[in-house]
Amino acid sequence: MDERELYQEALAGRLSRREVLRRGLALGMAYPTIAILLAACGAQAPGGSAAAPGASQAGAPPASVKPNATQLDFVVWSYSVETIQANIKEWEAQDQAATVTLSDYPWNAYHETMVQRFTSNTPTDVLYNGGDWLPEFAKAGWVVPIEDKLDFAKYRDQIVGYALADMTYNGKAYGLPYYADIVSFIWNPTVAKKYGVDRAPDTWEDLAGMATSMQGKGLDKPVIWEFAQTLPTSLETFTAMVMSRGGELFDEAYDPIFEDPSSPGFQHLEFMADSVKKGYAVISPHETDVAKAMNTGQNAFTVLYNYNLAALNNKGTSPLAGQFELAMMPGKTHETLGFAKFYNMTQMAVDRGDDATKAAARFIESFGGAPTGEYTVAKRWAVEKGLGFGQLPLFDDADVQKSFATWVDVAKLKEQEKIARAKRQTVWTGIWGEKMRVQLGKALAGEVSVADALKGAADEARALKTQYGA
Amino acid sequence: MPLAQDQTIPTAAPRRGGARRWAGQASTAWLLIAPAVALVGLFTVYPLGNALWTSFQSSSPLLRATFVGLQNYQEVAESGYFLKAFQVTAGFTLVTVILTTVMALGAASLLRETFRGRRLLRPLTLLPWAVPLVVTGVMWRWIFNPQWGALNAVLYSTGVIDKYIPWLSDPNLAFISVAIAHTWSQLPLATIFLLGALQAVPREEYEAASIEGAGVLERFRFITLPNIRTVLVIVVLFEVLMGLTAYDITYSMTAGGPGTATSLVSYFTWSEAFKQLNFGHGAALAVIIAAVALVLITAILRALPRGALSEDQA
Repeated sequence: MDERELYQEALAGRLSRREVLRRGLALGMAYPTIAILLAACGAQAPGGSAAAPGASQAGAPPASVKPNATQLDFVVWSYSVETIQANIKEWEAQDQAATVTLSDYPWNAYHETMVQRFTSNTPTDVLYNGGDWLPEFAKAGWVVPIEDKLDFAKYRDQIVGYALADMTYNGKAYGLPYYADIVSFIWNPTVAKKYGVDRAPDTWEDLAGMATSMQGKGLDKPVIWEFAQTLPTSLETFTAMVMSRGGELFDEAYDPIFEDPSSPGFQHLEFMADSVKKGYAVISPHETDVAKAMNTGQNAFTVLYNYNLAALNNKGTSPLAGQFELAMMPGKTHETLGFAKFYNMTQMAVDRGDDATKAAARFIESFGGAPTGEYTVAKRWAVEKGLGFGQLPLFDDADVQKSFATWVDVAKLKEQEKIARAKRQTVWTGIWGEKMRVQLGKALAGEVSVADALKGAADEARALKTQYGA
Repeated sequence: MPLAQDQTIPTAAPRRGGARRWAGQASTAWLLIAPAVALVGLFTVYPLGNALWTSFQSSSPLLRATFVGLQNYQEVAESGYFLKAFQVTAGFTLVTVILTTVMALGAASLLRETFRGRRLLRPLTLLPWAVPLVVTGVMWRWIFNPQWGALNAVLYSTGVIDKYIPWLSDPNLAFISVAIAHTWSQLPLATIFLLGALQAVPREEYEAASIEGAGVLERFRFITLPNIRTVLVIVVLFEVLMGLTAYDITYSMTAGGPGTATSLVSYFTWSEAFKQLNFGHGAALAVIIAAVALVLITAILRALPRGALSEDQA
């Protein structure tokens, strides 16, 4: 966790005062800054009490009293770290042969941090991974398929299609889901109605018409897009919107198909650039900023990872909670992007020998699978944090349904998830994403034309394909 | 630290009879500085050499390393991203160095004077220095946020503007916004340096100049400036390096956008090496930045009076 993450987690009330003090000092932050954070954060993080059940903690022997325990290094991005720690404690209490050391890094620097860890051989046994990075990590020999390490067959049919596709490389499954989610169209019907709109848009052109009309009635920026060239999420939301038009960015041979002005990719970037140019849409660099802006009532429509809807409708943190709804993604097919973030074992764990490999496999199965018949950890994320899940049985779980019903129309969510799919990815598409986001940013800012931006991105894709192969 | 008179470093062999003694002293000297040399070698020379070597390689964890000569330099120099990032970085450095130096000089001049509240104001000036750069970035992002930022709220509620200003979504305004935030974070150190220099200027010189009829500008030009020149050059040098390597605040505020309006070379280097896994390009960029910095440092140091930084200078 870096200072920015600490700041955000503290202000979001996800850390206790003690934790803020401990991490602030560890980061070398100045006392006045720590004092401000202490004043800003709650005495007890909202998830804190639930995240650290006393019974399981009491039963957890410290690492020092586990003789010959295998120590695992587990690396994650910084999200709800206290919940992760509580899950680890519970697992350590059950598994007498292993202990876990947790390291966390900010999401927007996670990929490069992992690259540095791997290239410098920093001990790492299990990590959070994502579909966009899996091909390059696998090709570099840093991560290994999970299906060779545990009985994956019993899970294969229980994982939702887009999640399984996102965790698969060269026909082999590499992990079990930490969470799986979709990109969603989110709107505020209360604000929309105030400015004369009483339904969600059916197509993007429909949205343009509605937004223009609302602008005429006094709402300056009805639409807000999350976009930053440094943020991997930006390309995923763009891809989701291209999918909703029935398109893809690459064909099956990984040749770019977004240069043609009649292609969904071209059309959608043109639509987005136009929305900014005409002034009815605004760009914000992070989902937390979008959520804050939506809570001012000055924006009515956005596209975000679906879990943001849980935060938007959380009465504890969101002033307009209860007003936000999920709508089907506008567009010809209404499809969207589905993705998975998953627990992945490293080659380093395998190289350590049988004990470490088996311990890592047990750990991954316990966190992403159901060794006791229940998806305990995935369910906890869903119920407590509103994270989506890739494990099909959880769709029918009464607790999950009850929890989700407090912030989303579950039937609508199921309808949207049914037509979600993973994006096409190969070894170089993660690298290409960095270049594509720069081009998208230039087009949205009006620095270059949409045609020039997409030609530049397509040229980069072709060069990478030549360099790395498909 | 000046050497005491009885401490000597052997610089030449004595004329007679002491060759063995001199060799012994030289060995001792080398032995004494060996740990420092080893540390510098390990943490400076080796990484620098390694970066230089990598810059001549096609190096990626996904491909086999091959020697490519100057190809990496050619590719990054021809890249549109690099040229744009270099232009933005140069502009950013120029603007922030000027802003920081001028404002610090003004603040230091003010703090040197005697007035009510000076004791309170001096420590307050240091506050921005105590805030971590990433937090500074987030804080200014919240101030400049076009939808819910404090600045728009204040300007709107006081009637200065009738419509929210897109501080961070307009390319020119975003550039100015990040430059302001960077300057704010740099101001305390520059102010303290210059305040120290100003306090060392003898008051008598100002009094004599005043008697001779010198005005404010003349006193500044002929008394203040020559007296603080060394520190001023050091401040400019430091701010140039901070501008060239700026990262935290800019990326916390704008993430390099909108478009490429605030994209800096430091991020481009990071992205090439660790996001795009092209270590060769990353190393070539790092070498280019180091070379540019070296040229600037040399040029700026030339502005110093001869011997200004040596220990025997009064």
